[in-house]
Amino acid sequence: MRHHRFLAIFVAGGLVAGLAACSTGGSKVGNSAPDVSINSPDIGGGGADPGDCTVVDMAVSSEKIAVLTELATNFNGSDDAKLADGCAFIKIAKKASGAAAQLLIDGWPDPEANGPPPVVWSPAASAWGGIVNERSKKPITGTATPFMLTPLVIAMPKPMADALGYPATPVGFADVAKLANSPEGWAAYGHPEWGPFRLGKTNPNFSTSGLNFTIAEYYAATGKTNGLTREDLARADVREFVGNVESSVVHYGDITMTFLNNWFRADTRGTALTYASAVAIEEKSVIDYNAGNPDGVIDPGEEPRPPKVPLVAIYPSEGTLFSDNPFFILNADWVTPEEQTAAKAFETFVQRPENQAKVLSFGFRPGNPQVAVAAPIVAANGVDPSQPQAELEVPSPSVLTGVLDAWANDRKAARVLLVLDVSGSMGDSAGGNTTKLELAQQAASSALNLFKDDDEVGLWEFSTDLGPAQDQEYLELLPVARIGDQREKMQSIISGLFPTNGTPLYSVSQAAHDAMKTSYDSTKINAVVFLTDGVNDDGETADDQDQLAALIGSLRSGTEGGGSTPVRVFTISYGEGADKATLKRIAEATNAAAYDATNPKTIDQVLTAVVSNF
Amino acid sequence: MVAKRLAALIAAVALIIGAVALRRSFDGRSSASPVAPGTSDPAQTAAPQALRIVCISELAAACDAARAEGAATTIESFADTLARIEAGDIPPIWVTFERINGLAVNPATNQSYFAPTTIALASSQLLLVAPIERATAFGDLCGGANNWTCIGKNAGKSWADIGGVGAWGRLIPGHADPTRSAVGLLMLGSAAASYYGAVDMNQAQINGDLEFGLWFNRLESSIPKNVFGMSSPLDAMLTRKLVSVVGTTHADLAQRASAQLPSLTTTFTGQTAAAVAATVPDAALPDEIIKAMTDALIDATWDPVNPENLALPSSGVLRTLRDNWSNLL
Repeated sequence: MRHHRFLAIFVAGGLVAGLAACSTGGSKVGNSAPDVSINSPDIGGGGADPGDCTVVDMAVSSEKIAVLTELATNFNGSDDAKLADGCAFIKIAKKASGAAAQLLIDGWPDPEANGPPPVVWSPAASAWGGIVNERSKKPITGTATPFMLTPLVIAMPKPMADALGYPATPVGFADVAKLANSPEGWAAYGHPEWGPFRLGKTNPNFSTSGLNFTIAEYYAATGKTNGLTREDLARADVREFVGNVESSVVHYGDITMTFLNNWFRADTRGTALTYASAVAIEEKSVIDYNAGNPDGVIDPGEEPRPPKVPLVAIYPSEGTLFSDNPFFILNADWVTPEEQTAAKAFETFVQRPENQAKVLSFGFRPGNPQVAVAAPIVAANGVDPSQPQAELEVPSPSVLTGVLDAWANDRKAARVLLVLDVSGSMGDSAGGNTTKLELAQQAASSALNLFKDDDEVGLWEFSTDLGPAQDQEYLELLPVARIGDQREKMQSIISGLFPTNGTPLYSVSQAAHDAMKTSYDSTKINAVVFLTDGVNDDGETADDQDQLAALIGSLRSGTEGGGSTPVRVFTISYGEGADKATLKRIAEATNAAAYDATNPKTIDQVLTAVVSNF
Repeated sequence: MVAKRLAALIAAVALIIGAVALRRSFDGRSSASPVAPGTSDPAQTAAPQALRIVCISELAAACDAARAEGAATTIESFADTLARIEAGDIPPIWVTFERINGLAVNPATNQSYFAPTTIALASSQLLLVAPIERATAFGDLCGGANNWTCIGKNAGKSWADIGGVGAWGRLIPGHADPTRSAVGLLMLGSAAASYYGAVDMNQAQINGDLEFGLWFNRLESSIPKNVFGMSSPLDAMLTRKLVSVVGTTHADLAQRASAQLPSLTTTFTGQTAAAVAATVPDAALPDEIIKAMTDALIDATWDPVNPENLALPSSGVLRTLRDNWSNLL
C-alpha cells in the first residue's frame, strides 16, 4: 500500500517555483495490504522557508492532507497570507482524528514524537471537538466552520445492495442490524454462497467513520434520530442490540483504508463478496474505491484500475452523520493571539468559492454552499448527490463520551496471541540508554490495558535456541485466556523478557497462526499480533523462499470464503532492520494490516493502533 | 543666527510630524487587507485619537469601510461587546441592530449607554428559507402560511406525519445562536412576534404564559445544537439538509445561497433587521464614514434603510427570550 506522502515545496528567489511529490513510509506495489505508519513526516505546505512569517502548525486528519497541502501551498507567500504585521505561513501535518484528540486532552506531550502542537486542528468531524472539551474539562475547541463535508454511508458491493433491493427499498442502520443478527445470513436473500453478513467498521476511539457509525448504532437501538441520552445508553435492550450488531464485525482498526485495501485485493482475487458484506465509510471513500484508488492517494505513475465489483453507497433511511471537517483554531496554552489571527487568514482563504471548488476533485462536498455539489459526486461513481435527505443529531459531548464508554463493553470480544521477538538485536540501543526490547516491553505492557477484561490474550516470545534444551523457537509464556484474569501476570512476564538469539520469523508466524486457528472462536475476533525487528534467521537460509511461499499459501487458505475461519495476523516492523516486505505479505495473506514502527520511539503509539483492531 | 536655528528646529519638527502622519496613513491601509467580511478582527487598528467603532460580526463590512476611512475598528460578536461594556469599556460608536443596542443598559441608571436616536445605515428583512418541496408540503399543513407559529407547533415531528416524505426525517427549524449572533437573537423576537401576532408584549407576559413557554420550548429544543456552532445556519440546510427551514436575513441569503436560490422558497417574517450606528451622547460620527459604511453594507447585499418594517419586540423582551433560551440548553 501506499499511504504516506507529502508535497515538498521548493522556493527559489522567494517565489514558489514548483512542487515535488514524494513518498515515504511503506513501499507499495499495486494495491496491497495496509501499511500503517505512525508519525510519518506527512507534512505539506511547509516545505518552504517561512521566513519571518507567523507559522501556523495545522494537524489534519489523513483524508484531507492532499487538498490542504495544495491549498497551503497556494496560500503561503500569496497576498492572502499578508497580515497587518507580517504574514502567515501554514504547515500541515497529518494526524488521525482520535489520536489528535487524545493528544490535545493530554496537553500535546512529546512534540518530538507527536509533531508540533497545532494552532489549528481539523479532525474529520466536529464531534471530536466536543469530546476533547468534555474529557479535558477545558474549552480547547470553540465553534468552527466546516471546511468540507462527506456523509457516512454503508458501502456495500453492488450485487449485495441489489439483493437488498436498494435503492428502491430503503435500507437503514436497523436493517443492517437485522442482517447482522440473522442466522441465515445472505441465504435469506437467496445467496448462501456469500455466507454470513460481515460488517467492517473502525474503532470509534480512533476513526470518525467508526465514531459516527457507533453513534448511529445506538440511535438505531433506541429508534431515535435525535436526543440520545446517557440513560438510553444504559438500557439493557440497547446494549443487547448494539452487541448483536458488533458481533458481525470482521475486525476493527484505526483507519478505513485497512478495509478498503483488503477489499480491493480480495476483489482482484474474486473474493470481494466474502471478505466483507458492508463497511461503514465516508461517501468520499466509495468514490475513491470505485475509481480504483482504495486508499485515496494516487502514487506517481500509478494507473488506477476500477474494481470488478463496485461499491454502492447506501444512505441510511434514518438519516446519517456527516464528517464536517471543522477548522478549530485552538484556545490552548501554546497558541498565541498572533497565531490565531494568522490562522483566521487561512480559514478565510479556504472558504473562498474557488478554493472550495477544489475539494470536489477529492470527492468531498464543499462546505461553502456557494459551490454546488458536482462531479465526481455522481451516480456513476456509486453515490447519490441528492442524498442524504436527513441527518442524525450529533449527541452532546457528555453523551458522546458515554457512547465511547458503552461501546468499550459492547464491542466484539477478541482472542489475541501476542508474539514478541526477543532475538539478540532487540538488545540494540533505541537511543540513549534504552534498548529496543525495553521500549517494546513498556509499550506492550501499556497496550494490555486497552483490552477489555473479557478479551482473551496470550503471550509467546520467540527466538532460536529457547527452552530448557535450547531447541525451541518459541515459548508459550501464557496461554490465550481472559485478560481480566491475567493482565498483571502478563505485564510482569513481559517486563522480565531479555534478548537472546536468532529470528525464526517464518516458522513462528506459521505456528502462531496455526495455534489460533486450532482454537478458533467464531464469536470473537481471532488474531495474532506479531512484533519483530529482524529478518528470518533460523540458521538455515537455503529453504527461506520455499518456507515463505508455503507460509503465505497456508495463511491465505482459510482466510477467505463463505465458511472461512479467519485468523488475522497483524504485523509490526520494529526498528530499521525489520523485514517490512515480508511482514506486509504476511498481513496481506490474512486480510489484516502491517504496521511500521521503524522509529522505535513510536512503538507505544503503534501498539495502541494495533490494539484498535480489537 | 538664533532665528536660523529656530527655523531649522521648526522645519525638523514639521518633518517629523509629517513622517508620523504618513506612517499612520500606511498603517491604516495595510491593516485593512487581511480582514475578510464576516470575520471578526479582535486586534484594533493602531490609530491614536482615531474614531473608535465596534461592529457586530454580521455588520463587519461597515467596520471594514470605516477602517479605510481611518477609524479604529473592532469586529466581534454582540455578546462580546456587551461583556466589554459591562466591564466598563464603552465604545463611542457601536454598529449593531436596532434593539440590540438597547441591551447595553447602565445598571446604575437603568438607562442605555447610547443615545436614544440612532443613525440608520441599512436594513435586511428577516426571512424563513426552505427548500421548495419541503416548504410546499409544510405550507399545506399551515394553510399556506409558513410562519414561526406553525413551525413551532410542528417542530420535531416526522415529515411523514405532517404531509411530507418520511425520508426527510423530522421537521427541524434552525437559526443562529441567539447568545452569540445578533441575527439569532432577532429571530427569537421574530418568533415571539409571530406567536402573539404583535410586538408589544412584555417580559412578564413572556414569562407568565405557559402555552407560549411550551411552544417556545418545542421550537427551540428541536434545533440540533451543532447548528449553533455554524457560521451561518443556512449552511446547515444547504450543504447537508440538517435543518428543514432556516430563519435568517435576506443579506445572509444573498451572500451564502445565491447559487441555490432557484431551489429555495423564502417567506418574509414581517420583521426587519435594521443596521444602525448607536453613539454615546458626546460622540459624533462624520458623514463620510456614515456614507462609507452604508455603501459597504449595500455592497454586501444589505438593503437601503427601511425602518417602517422593524416590527420587533422591545430590547427587554429580547433579553428575556435570550435568557429563557439559554435555560433550555
